[in-house]
Amino acid sequence: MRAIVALAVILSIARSSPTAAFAFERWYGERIAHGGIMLHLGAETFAARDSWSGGLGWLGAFADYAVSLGGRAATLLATMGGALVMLALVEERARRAAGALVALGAVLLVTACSIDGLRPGGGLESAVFAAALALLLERPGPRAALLATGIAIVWCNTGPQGLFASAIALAFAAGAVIERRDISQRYWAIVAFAGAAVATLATPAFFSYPALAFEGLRIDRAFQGLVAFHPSEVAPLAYRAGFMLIVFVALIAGAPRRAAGEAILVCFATLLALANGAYLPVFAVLVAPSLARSVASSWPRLSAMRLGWTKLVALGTICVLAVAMLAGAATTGLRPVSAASEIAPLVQLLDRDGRTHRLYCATPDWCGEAIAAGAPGVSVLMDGRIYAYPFEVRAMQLRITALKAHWRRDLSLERIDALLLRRDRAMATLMAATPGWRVAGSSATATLFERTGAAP
Amino acid sequence: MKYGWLVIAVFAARFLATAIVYPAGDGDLAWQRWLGATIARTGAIPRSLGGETFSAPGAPWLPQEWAFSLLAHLARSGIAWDMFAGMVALCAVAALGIAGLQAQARGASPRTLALLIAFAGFALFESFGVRAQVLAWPLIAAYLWLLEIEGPWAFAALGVAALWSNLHASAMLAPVLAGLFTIGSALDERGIGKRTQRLALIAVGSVAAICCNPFGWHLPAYAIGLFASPIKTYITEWKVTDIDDLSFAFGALPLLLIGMLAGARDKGRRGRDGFVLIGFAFLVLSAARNVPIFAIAALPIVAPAFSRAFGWFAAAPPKPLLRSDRLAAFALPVSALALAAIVAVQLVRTAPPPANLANAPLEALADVPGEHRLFCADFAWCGLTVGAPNVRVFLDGRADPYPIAVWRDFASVVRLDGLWRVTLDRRGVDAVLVAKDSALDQALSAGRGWRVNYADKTYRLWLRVAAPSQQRFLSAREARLDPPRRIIRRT
Repeated sequence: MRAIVALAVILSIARSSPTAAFAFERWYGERIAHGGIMLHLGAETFAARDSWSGGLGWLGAFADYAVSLGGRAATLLATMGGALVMLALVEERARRAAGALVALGAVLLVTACSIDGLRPGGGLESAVFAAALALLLERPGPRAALLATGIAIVWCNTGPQGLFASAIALAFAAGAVIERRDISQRYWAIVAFAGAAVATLATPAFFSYPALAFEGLRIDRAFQGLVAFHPSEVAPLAYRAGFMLIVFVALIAGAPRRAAGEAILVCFATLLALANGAYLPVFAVLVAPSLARSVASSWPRLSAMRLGWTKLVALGTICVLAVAMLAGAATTGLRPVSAASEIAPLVQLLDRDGRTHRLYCATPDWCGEAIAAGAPGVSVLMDGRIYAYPFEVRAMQLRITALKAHWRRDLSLERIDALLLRRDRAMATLMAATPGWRVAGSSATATLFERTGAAP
Repeated sequence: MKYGWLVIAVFAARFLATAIVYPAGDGDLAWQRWLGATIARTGAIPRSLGGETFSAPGAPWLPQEWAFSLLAHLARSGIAWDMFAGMVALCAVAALGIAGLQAQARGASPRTLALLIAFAGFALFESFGVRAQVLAWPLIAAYLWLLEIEGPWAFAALGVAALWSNLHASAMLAPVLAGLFTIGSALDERGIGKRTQRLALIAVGSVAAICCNPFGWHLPAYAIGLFASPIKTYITEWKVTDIDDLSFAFGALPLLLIGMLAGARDKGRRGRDGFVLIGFAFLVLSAARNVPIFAIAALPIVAPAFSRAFGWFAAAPPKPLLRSDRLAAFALPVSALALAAIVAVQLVRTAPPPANLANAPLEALADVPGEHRLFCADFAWCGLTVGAPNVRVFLDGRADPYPIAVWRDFASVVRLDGLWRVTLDRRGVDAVLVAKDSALDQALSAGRGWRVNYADKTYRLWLRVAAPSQQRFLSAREARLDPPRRIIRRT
């Protein structure tokens, strides 16, 4: 049955296309490979050149680039590998306290919650790190503390999500103290937390990592209007098929008794998932094994169940149907629409005239894609690295996006001469009626406007 | 409940003050009073939209809030209004009180109740107003409590369901809840025992009970249709619950988290509690409008579990009741309500004046001679002018009866898609009310053919100065030919 789940995951990834973020990661990785870690924003932005970015996520971007050198097959294989490792770690943690059958249930819940992320650039690496850390920290000891610190260091260098390492370690350390475990376990749980906390300083950003990473997590509602947060928008299928299901199971089974650490973890993971739907897989890998343990203690027969052939066939059929349904849904358009293939041609169209252009994008991630399109003459107002942009630039991006007072003056002041807008939004209609601008190109979701005269 | 009553008193004061000083959070109360006046005048409940709208006259309408509207009309001014608004506030208080008492009966400790009633109170906060659904809140709490009762008194739930169906279409939940209780009870009893049989009878009886209203079976049919209605995408209340919603973040979410940690572990009632929690969790995670009813339903289930799970919140061992305890059982709620009334009076006296709704621009429009076809960028604003003699609206707060074609045109204009101007022309709109400096306001100011008739800090009213480019408006008959796919309702 494990093989069936794995096969479904592999098939789902094999038929997927990379996310828009993946293109930017690859561009960023390439820059690192050729020019070293970028600690500041470069000429790709005109509004915040030389602004401190701390090289956030350099290792993740470099790894993505290195893997992509092997072509699409290598990228897909790496994604498949990551997903399978994540599921194996979840199963291992769930099996410790529950039987094989209940552990399989945990794996299915995690699969359902990761369904929107089963693609290159889908962000599963955070879930892999989280699953590994939880597995280690559940049984504190010197080896676990050392390995956890190592994992935290790698994770922090991979992306802003490395901050979760210290939060997870803190949850387990608090649990060990509250549960009054023996002194050695308490000691090593606290050491593991200290190691994970220190790991946040072991990145090129040094002391600025926590602040930068917190903003890079995109859970701060100050970015409302710039990025999507809500799970039903970011990962609609995972929210309905995975998150809700886990909540329902939790309402029936509850968290494991006398496990304060896991209770804290469940609260933390739930808040995280609701703060940004991109972290639904992290939520699932942290919560599902706890639920498995709780289910096993509430219904001991389930964990002790030995599978006869009849039960095996029946359960197998249910699993196949569930996974096929999820995999089918994930590959037939229920995933959030990505304009991954639409932005690059439009930007290249802009770059074709040989002049330099200053580009504003309705969504900062589109500008990330525009940068990744490799148009040397195009620099952007703000890309997806929102954390690295000064407050004034963010405020300007928000003003223009929300069509607040003086937004046209902002366009002129910054000498923006190209706009990448959503076709169906008000700004595109307003610009179409504005003298001095023309439509330079359009795709299914985006329209490119170009200034035809000099900015007033 | 001793601390719980104090918490309820705090919320009661706030609810009373809000209801009396700020009764109208949007334009709904205005059209509901108009509906009440129509019912009082004609002696019949209208079943279709009339000439107050030009986009969908004749479209079928099921005014589920008829009873509320009638009361709002009868108590439209002076002390009668204060009493009516106060009664609505007391409904919210009663919902908290009933849920709290049920939790206490199930073994929740006073400390737990104080904390969790505070969460439940927050969950009601954002949705609270002088609105029809608030009248349904205590009925939900009462219905759930009656389902718990062992014995023939449980059948009183049928009366509650019937009353509920006359106040709000959420009464459709009654048979669903009873059905969930029945399944849960069968699991708890490991078979079909007496309780399960009784609950099954109540579930079936509730189906009939919710048809005991002027609309009969159309009311549940309408409520079911609303779940699949495409217009939900245009209405804020139906958006998926977000952690940004304060009532969710500080009210329902803590209750949900406690439920997830403690689980439905009460011996002998795991099935019933589990099914009810899952049902309401589905509702609260699906739409922001369900935050209050989740809190009301979850409080009695999670409070006892919370008391058992956390030592500091554990209930004290039972002891024989003293005379002072018996006295306190009555004195605490009474003194809490008295305290709430005193605080509410003070709040009312010091409250700033109500925020300016769109009354001023709508009055300015009514003063302009001739008949006007008004489009409001927020359809709730148009609710304020429903029934005005010389203004017909495109879409108003009644929302649900309007056909999907009207909603699409509304979205086309508000989102300024490429056809917005054509849509305004085609529908023959000659007055547009917008938020100042909004995208639509900017688009109207950029184009020709419109002039500002009224402007203040918040609103701008545009009137057409030239004939629409396309003179052929949708006639009333054509509008009727484009019927709604189902009868639906917003509140």
